[in-house]
Amino acid sequence: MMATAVAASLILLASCTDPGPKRIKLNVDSCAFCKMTITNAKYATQFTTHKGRHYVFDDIICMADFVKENSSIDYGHFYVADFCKPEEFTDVNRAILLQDDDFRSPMRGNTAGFAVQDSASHYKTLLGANEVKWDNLIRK
Amino acid sequence: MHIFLSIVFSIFTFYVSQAEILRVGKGHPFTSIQSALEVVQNGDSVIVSGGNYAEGNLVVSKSISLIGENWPVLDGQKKYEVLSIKANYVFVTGFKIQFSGHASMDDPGGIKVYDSHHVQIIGNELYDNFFGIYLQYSKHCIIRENKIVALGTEEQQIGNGIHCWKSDSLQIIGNSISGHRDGIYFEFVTGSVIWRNISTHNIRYGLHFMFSNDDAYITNLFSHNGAGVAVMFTKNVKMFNNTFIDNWGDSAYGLLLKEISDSYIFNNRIIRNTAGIFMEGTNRILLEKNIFKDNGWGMKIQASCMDNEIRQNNFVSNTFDVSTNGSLVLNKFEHNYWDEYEGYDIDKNNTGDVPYRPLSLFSMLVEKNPPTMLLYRSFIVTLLDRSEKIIPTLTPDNFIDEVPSMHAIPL
Repeated sequence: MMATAVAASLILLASCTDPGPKRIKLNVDSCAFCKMTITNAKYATQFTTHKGRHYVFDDIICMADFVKENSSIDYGHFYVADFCKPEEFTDVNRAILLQDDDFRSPMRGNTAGFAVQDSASHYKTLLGANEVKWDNLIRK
Repeated sequence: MHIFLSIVFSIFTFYVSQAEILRVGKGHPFTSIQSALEVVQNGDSVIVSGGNYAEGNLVVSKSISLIGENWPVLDGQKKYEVLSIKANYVFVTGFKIQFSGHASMDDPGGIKVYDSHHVQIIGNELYDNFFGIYLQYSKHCIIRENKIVALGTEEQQIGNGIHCWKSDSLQIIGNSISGHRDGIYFEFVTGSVIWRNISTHNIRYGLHFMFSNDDAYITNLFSHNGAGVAVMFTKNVKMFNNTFIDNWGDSAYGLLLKEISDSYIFNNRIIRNTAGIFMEGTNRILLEKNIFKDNGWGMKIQASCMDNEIRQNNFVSNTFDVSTNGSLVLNKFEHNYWDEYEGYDIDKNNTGDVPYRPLSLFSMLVEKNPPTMLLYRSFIVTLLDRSEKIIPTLTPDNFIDEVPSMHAIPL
């Protein structure tokens, strides 16, 4: 009896924790903001809600615009794909975000995320890219 | 007089004889295209005989005609951009161009035009390239009658068939494109026309406009594309006489209009799509004399759309003719033919004497709660819709065609 109660409460607790980023289905999933099908995983972003729902985007600028327009959503965590390993997502505040016109992202956010400093530094010097912060992107 | 003529003629022949013809192929002076391109001068022609030419990246940097005889094959071996054009007045015809490099930062293509004007790419076949034909910073170019095929699948990155970026005054005519990401893609392209192309089975859109003003697309066929056609962040686009057909899927539309204004959509056929036209942030559009037939939704008009005029269209056998997600209606419906209209025409002026409300209560419910679709055609839903038509309570009461046509408009 006790065990069931514990198990039940664990399940309840588990359902409240952040589900983490989901795998994006390339050429199937569409952007929650601009409605375009996601065809380039390198620039994909997503966020979770406290209820466990995922919103996926084809470009960080779409996620930023979505956040600016929708204030009533219970935002959880924001993630950005690693430009060098697009199937892996990193918390947007931990990732290094580089902005440069040579990143031709679908909606012209032209911003790529990097999970590790090495690859970010490589592209930063290669393209002369600027480092940007998520907080600045969502500032109105 | 005679002497004068002969002088003129000799000057003329002098200039003509300046233009040389360089032949490439087995038994010809040049065995590689590369060697011919190295010595070629402005105005010359390079004629390439049939055969396989895997010469890495070929760069055309002079104003020449590059002509293939018996379909010579230019092969990029999945490593190189095949043909790069970096000169004005270049003419390319008769080649089969295949296997460009894939998925790198610099977007390799079968044929790529860099910062040039008056380039003509006519009658080539492009097969399994990352991008098919790619134009950037180019003007007055003609892309005509090319056949562009790629084998894009889901879960794989692929470029566009005809990709135009920051260009002006282009003519894209009579091409057929399939298997790419977007069949035809325009970004920052102005003053251009897309005419009589066939764009089918592309992964994302048959045609995709972004930030491209003052363009027209006329008499094209878009079918079986992943998500139909998208015109976004654009103004003053003319869309005439196109066919949008068989685009099915969760987020598929015959035509997706997002953030577009001051455009004219005339005489198109929008048939068998999940949503015929999806409009969001769309203003001051005139939609006239189009056919909406056999769609899930004829039109989905989001609440962010204003001042659009929808007149003299035929809405025939759609599950829902129109739906919306809001209650504010700032668009005008006039003189459309709705096959579900049940009114009468006592004064015989071919216009229904009672208004038609194209928005059913049930479509509003489905918009808010998609699983209710289960109840479609059930008794209770029919009852709801009937009572709502008589006394509108939940649907916006100004969502109305005051003068519906009694008969299908002949189109």
